[in-house]
Parts: sequence; C-alpha cells; structure tokens
Amino acid sequence: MLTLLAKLLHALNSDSSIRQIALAIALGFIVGLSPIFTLHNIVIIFFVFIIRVHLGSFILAVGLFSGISYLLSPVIVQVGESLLTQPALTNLFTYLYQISLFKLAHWHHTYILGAFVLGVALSAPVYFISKLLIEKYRVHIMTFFEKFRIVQALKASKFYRLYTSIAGDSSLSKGGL
Amino acid sequence: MVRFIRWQGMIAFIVISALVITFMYFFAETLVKKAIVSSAESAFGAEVNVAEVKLSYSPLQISILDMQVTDKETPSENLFSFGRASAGVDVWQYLFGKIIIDELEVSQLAFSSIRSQIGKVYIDEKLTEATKESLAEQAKALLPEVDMQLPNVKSLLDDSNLLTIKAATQLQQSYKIEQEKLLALKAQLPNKAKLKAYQDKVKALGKMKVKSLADIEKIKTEFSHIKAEFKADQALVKNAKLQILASQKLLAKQISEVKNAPAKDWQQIEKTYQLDSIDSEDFAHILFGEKAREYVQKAQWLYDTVAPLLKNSQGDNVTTEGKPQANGRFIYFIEETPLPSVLVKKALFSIQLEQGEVAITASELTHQHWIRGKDSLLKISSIDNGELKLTSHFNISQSGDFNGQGKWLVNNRAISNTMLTQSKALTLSLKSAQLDGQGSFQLLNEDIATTNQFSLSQASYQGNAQSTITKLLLDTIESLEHLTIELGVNGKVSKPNFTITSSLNDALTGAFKQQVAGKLADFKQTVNKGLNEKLANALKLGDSQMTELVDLEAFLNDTDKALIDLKNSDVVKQQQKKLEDKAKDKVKDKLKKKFGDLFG
Repeated sequence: MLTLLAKLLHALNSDSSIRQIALAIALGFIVGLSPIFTLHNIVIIFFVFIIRVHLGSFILAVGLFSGISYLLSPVIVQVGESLLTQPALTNLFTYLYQISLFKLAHWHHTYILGAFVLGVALSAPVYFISKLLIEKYRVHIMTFFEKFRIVQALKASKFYRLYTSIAGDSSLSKGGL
Repeated sequence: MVRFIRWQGMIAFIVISALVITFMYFFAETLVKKAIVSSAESAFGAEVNVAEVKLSYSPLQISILDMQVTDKETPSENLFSFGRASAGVDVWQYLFGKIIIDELEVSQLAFSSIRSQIGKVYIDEKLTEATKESLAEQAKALLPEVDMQLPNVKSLLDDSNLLTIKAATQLQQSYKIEQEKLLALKAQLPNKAKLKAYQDKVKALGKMKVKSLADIEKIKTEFSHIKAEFKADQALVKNAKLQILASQKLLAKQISEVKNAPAKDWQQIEKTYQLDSIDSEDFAHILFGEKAREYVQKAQWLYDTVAPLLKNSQGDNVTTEGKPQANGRFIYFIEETPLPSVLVKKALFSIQLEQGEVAITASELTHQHWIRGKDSLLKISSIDNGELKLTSHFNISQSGDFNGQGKWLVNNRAISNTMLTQSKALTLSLKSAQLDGQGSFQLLNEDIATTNQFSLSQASYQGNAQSTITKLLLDTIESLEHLTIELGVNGKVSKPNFTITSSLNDALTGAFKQQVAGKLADFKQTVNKGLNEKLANALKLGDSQMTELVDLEAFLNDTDKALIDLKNSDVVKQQQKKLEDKAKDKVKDKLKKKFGDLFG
C-alpha cells in the first residue's frame, strides 16, 4: 500500500503524462463501482494492462471507488432497476437478453448494469476533473509545499528514500498517451 | 498507435489471470465450504459442520460430505444431517445467473441424530415453544382425572344450591308475603256479622211504618247512607280479588318452577361430577390428537421455513414485482427456451429413519413453475418395513398462489414403542402394532384439507392409569384387537382444526354402558327419588296454599254477591207502594161510605 502511495505521489510529482494518470483514475472509477469479477471489468483490466495508463493510479482508484460504491449501492441499484424495468426499454433488453454475452456480463442484474452505466456515464467527467486537479497540483500545490522546512525534513526520511528508489523508471508506469 | 500499447502488459495480464485461476482452482473447495457453512449457520441459527466439499469441473459437480446442522432448540441433536450430497450444476446457466441442477442426490439423510458434541446456537427463537407446550398440555388436560367415586347422595340432596330446594324455599317465602297482603285486605273486608247488620238495617227500613211522603223521604235518605257503605266495601272486595289473582299467578309460576327443578338439578349434578361426559368423551382425540398435532407442527415448521423462500422471487420477465434491494437482483426477460432462476431437474434423497430407510425422489423442483408449465413431483417410498408410499405434486402460480395435493398409503408397517400420551391420570404407549392407512391432502396457499384413515392391528399397549375412568380406558384399549382412527386436519396451516374419530369411542361407550351405566343408573334413581320427595313436599305445600287462596276467593265472591243484593234492594219502592196502597184504600173506603148512603 505504501509502495502504491509512493508510486502515485511519484506519478503526480514526476513528468508522467497527466492524461495517463487521469485515464487510469477514470477507468479505475468504472471498475471500482462494479464487483471486481464481472465481464466488463475483466475487459477493462485487460485494456489497462495493454495500453499505457498509470497502473498505480488505476489500482488506487479501484480501491477508493470500491469503497465509495458501497455507500452508493442504493443509487446504483436504483439506476439498474429503473433501466431494466423501464417499459420503453423492454424490447431492447429482451433482444439483448437473447445474446449470451449480455447474460454472461450479468447486465440483467440491477446492481451490475447500474454500476456499469453510472461508471461509463461519469467516467468522462471523472477524467476531466482528475486532469484538472493534477494540473493544479503540479503548478501550485507542489511548488507551494516544497518551500516548507517540514517537507525538506521529510525528504530526509525513510519514506522519501523508498519514494526515490521507486522514482527510477518502472516499465509499467513509463510512457504516456 | 503502437506507442500507446505496452506488450509487456499483456504478459502481466496473462500471468495475473493464471495466478487467479490457479488460486481459485486450489482454494475453491475451501472457499465454497466456508460459504456453505456461513450461509447455513445464518439460515438455521446454529452451528453447521461440513467435513469436506469436493468440486469436479467437467461437468461441474459439487459434493458436500458429512454435513451436520445443529438443532437450535436441542443443541445436542442435529436438525438434519447427511453423509453426502452431490449436485451437477449447469455451468453455462450458472454464468448467466441461474442455478440449474440436473441431478441432486442426498444420501444418509437423518433427522434428530445425536451430535458428537453440543452445537453452538446463534439465534434464540422463543416463539414455537409456548404454543407447542400449550397444545400438548391442552390435549392432556382433556383427560378426565375424576374418579368413578360417585358423590354421596345425602350430602348431595342436602346441598342448599339445589334448584329444587331453592324453588321450594322461594315458593314458601312468596306465599308468606302474599298471605300477609291478603290478610291485611281481609281485615278490612266486611265480615258476616257486618253483612248481617247490613241486612238487618235494610229489613228494618222495609218494616218501617209509612204514613206520609216524609216517611218515604226518610227511608230513602237512610238507604242511600247504607248504600254508600256498601260501595266502599265493594271496592275493598274488588281490590282483594285483584290481589288474589296476582298471588295465584305468582304462586302458579313458582309451582311450575318447583316442578321443573329436579330435572335441572340432575343436569347440574351430571355436569359437576362429569357424569354426562363419561360415555361421550372424545377419547380418540385425547389419545391420538397429541401425536397428530406433533406431526402437523413439524409440517407447519417446514411450511413456515419454505414458504418465505417460495414467495421471494416470482418473476421471470420484466413485470417482476419487488422492491429494489441494496444488493440488486436479476431481472429475467422472455427467451425462447425459458428456465426458472433455480431448478432441480431431478433429486434423490435417501433418509435414514428408525423405521428403516426412506427414499424420496423429486423432479422439477423450483419456485417458478409457470415458466416451464410443469408441476414439481414428489415421491416418497419405503419397503424396509412394510410399504410406505406418498405421491404429491405442487406448483406456484405467477401470482404467488401455492397449490399442492397428494395421497399416501401405508401397508403392513410395524410400529414399536410410540408414546401416545403421558399425563397424571394416564400414561399410554404403543409397544407394537401393525399399521395400515391411507389418506389424501390438499394445500391451497395457507388452507389445508386432509383426510387420513389409520388402522392398527395386533396392537400391544403399555400404560399406567390412576382413576377408574382411565383404568377402564386402558383396559378397553388393551382389549381391542383392531382399532381404526380417522384424522381430519382442516383450516389454516397456522391454526388447523383437528377432527379425530375412532372405533375406540364406540368400544368405550359399550364398555361404559356395561361397567358404569348400572352404577350410574342406581345413583341417578336415588338422587332423583330424593329430589322428587323434595318436589312433592314443596308441591303439597303449594297445593294447600292454593286451596286457601281458592277458599278466600269464594268468600270474596259471596261477600260481593251479598253486597250487590243489598245494594239492589227495593226497600224504598216497597215502602212507596205501601203508602200508595194505603192512600188508595182510604179513597175506596170514603167512596163506599158515600155511595152506601146514597143507594143504601
């Protein structure tokens, strides 16, 4: 966990692509809302591995949004329930239901469909908000904090040594979009 | 494009996926075992033990070995246990969110087996204990503990609560009160002397010498004074007559009550000393009702456990009812070959009972029968001890209505050591017997209707009786070579009504007639004789009182008549006539004298 946090801090502070980190957070948001072993999550995780997004940020985002999804579960179920029981969409879902992949993905389950729809719909705002926040962090907050003596003291600590050891290029976190 | 892809990631993904699959493969059995134990403990509220869970993947089959579920009411016993349960699961449908079991086999299923160590109980359930106890106690309370020691006749007849005595006392008191009223009235009435005086006065007026109209006027005045006295006396007589009528009415009513009192007293004596129930008591209900209730309570427990599960999910398309839950739910849509969300196509249970092994086969077990349009079928059979057969089919409609029916048959089944009743007055157990029987049942939602006929032959009983009645009951039942029992259970499952009829009742009625009826008849005769004597005394008194009233009424009638006669007396007219006659005579004499001188 500490290593992951160090990786995130490194990513935020390094010149890693902002879009890389923001995309990782947005994808982590979609995955975090649904139960981990669902078909769409496995597909997203596969893409996270093969496209160059920041893995540390993705894993932390999944952890964070899994916790938030627990609090949001009534809303998620409500969204799925209202979609699946919407008379206007009955024909569409009946058509989709005949496709094995639809059933395999459990999109006829109120929680899973609700989480997927909410995740996909909100992933774009999450991406842009994350991007904006990281930009602001790098320009203002990082330079502001570095002025403090306590930060300089922390730099001499064990945690910072760990942080700097990780700061060396990681093959998985390198590169950007 | 290539710069966006990291091929190393692909390798990482494959490695991680392989690790997950390997982990699942090696630890799946442990995880499934934990999940089964945890969910069963939550469902049954007590410790659940599973020895082992085995999974085979092609085809997917899960086997649970040696599962024991603690009975939370008696933690030293298992609610149920089985040696092995295996189920073949349709993987593809499972991935689609449906549990379709092609074949479920449970062997060595046993109920109430003793645990090697006392199981932990997680939930306290108080609800059924009180009702169970009260039902059993109610049945036992029906046993007559009163002995055939008949009450003492003398003390019984001296009992001041007897209606005959009460009615007689009441009659006496009423007569006394009425008599006092009449005596008070009688004192005011004109007696014979007074009537004689009235007659003398009237006669005197009639004999008075009348010389002039002034004399007539004087007689008129005196007679009108006397008439006023007559009128006052007549009013008194009239009141006395009304009082007599009221008294007669009251006393007649009370005499009638006295006459009916002995019959009512006998009814009360019969009721108080349970003499009326001796030959009509429903002994079959007392003896076999408790056992029947036990079985019905077991069925009721099963129904209460299963019913909520059946009602839980009733839809397989978008019209499914139910409030959204935080965990979500599957919504099923119409498909070409629809399947219920849970279906056991074929099941085989082998149950180990004291009486032998029982095999249960079932097919099409689901809670959504309308999807495939097939009923669940259940067949129970045993050949270890005689023949036992039960066939049943049931279904749940889309609207949630449960409809089940079936029939059962037992042939030549040996029964041993079955406790029938245990109370202060009677302990009775069936040592051995051959049982035959048949019946049918129907369950429509919560309404149950069953008819069951049992026939016990070659029965041997063991028991202990305390009172004469229970001894007689014991002797009678022991003497019966053949016993039939008809049991009906109807009404709501939660509150069923039992009707039990048996040849035992007829046999007991006969036995009572022989052994008790003679003694009872003597007792009845003696008591009734005593009551009738009391009645006769009361009626004798009543008759003499009525005679007195009749005499008084005759006296009043005479008085009334005499007064009317006196009132209607024409003494004034007679005196007027006399005066007129005298005047006429005078005129005649004068005329005779004058005409005599003229023609003389």
